[in-house]
Amino acid sequence: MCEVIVVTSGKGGVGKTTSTANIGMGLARMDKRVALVDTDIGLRNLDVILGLENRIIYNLVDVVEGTCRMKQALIRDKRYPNLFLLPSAQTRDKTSVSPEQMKKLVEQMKEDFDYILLDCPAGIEQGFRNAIAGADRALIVTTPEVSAIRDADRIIGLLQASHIRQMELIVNRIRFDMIRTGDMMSLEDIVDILSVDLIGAVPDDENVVISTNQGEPLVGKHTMAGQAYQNICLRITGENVPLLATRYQGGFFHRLTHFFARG
Amino acid sequence: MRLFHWFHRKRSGEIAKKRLKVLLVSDRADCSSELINSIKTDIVQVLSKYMDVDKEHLEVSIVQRPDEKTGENHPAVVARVPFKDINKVIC
Repeated sequence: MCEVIVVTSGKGGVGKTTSTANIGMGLARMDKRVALVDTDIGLRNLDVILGLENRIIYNLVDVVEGTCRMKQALIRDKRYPNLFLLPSAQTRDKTSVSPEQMKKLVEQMKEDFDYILLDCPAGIEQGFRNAIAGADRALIVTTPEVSAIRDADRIIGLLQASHIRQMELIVNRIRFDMIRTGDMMSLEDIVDILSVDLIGAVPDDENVVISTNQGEPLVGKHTMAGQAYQNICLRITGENVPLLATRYQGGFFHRLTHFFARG
Repeated sequence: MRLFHWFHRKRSGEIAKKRLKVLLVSDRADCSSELINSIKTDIVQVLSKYMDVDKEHLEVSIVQRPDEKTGENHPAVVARVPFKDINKVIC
């Protein structure tokens, strides 16, 4: 059974694409067959985050318009042979495909994959409607900032009015030192405000910038964010992993002081 | 002075939370009042094909109705649509 997950946020720049790339690769590392679909037509980025930008020949719009077959457009990741990218078009815009076409496209892919992750563009217009059309489940990404949370709330409202029944929250760019001093809203605050189950908390980590520069997602590596993304993948596949679980030795307080030392 | 700043700095997370809670109440209310207005417009448009709808006294609301069998609450649109001239009803 294929699970189709849309990664959305409302607000731009909170980490949808980074999360899609890392969660997708994390699931592939667990031997799942994964397809990542960049639905941000006109402003593609998933290819760059994955380091696959030089291998694009055909894209999503080509498949929808029948210019090529799905297999010709899908890019197989050389690091993980069960991970594929369907890139977006850079020179078209969001009106080039319709929600119905997206739904058909996703249906076509379902038998070949265990997970399809749709990277949703920012906003609430057609790009969003296109991205959610084929999805069964949503991951809402937010940061602990007022504007991001406000936009996430709007997106949650739109999702609740749609066919999507399962949705969970990822809080990205957390600064535990600032939460401790009361300068940042805590995870509990955010979950209380948005009333959506939390599936993951990703600390603010310089290594994300480095990984983006290199085109090498850091999921599973020994960094704060890498471990957090790996835990999200485990939870998606049904494993019960406590929040902030890391592979670092020592007790819970030991891990917290380790976070503060870095921040 | 430093103590003053430290004290204020400590509470900005709390301030953010309070502001958001207030803000989201009105954001969510705006959304639902826009929705109701759209539904009202559409109802008037459809029913005006058959009768002369009294737009001023039209009432539309979204309510929670308990299911007969399970007792669970389900949302429902409830509309009360008075119309003006029963003789002009088109059958």
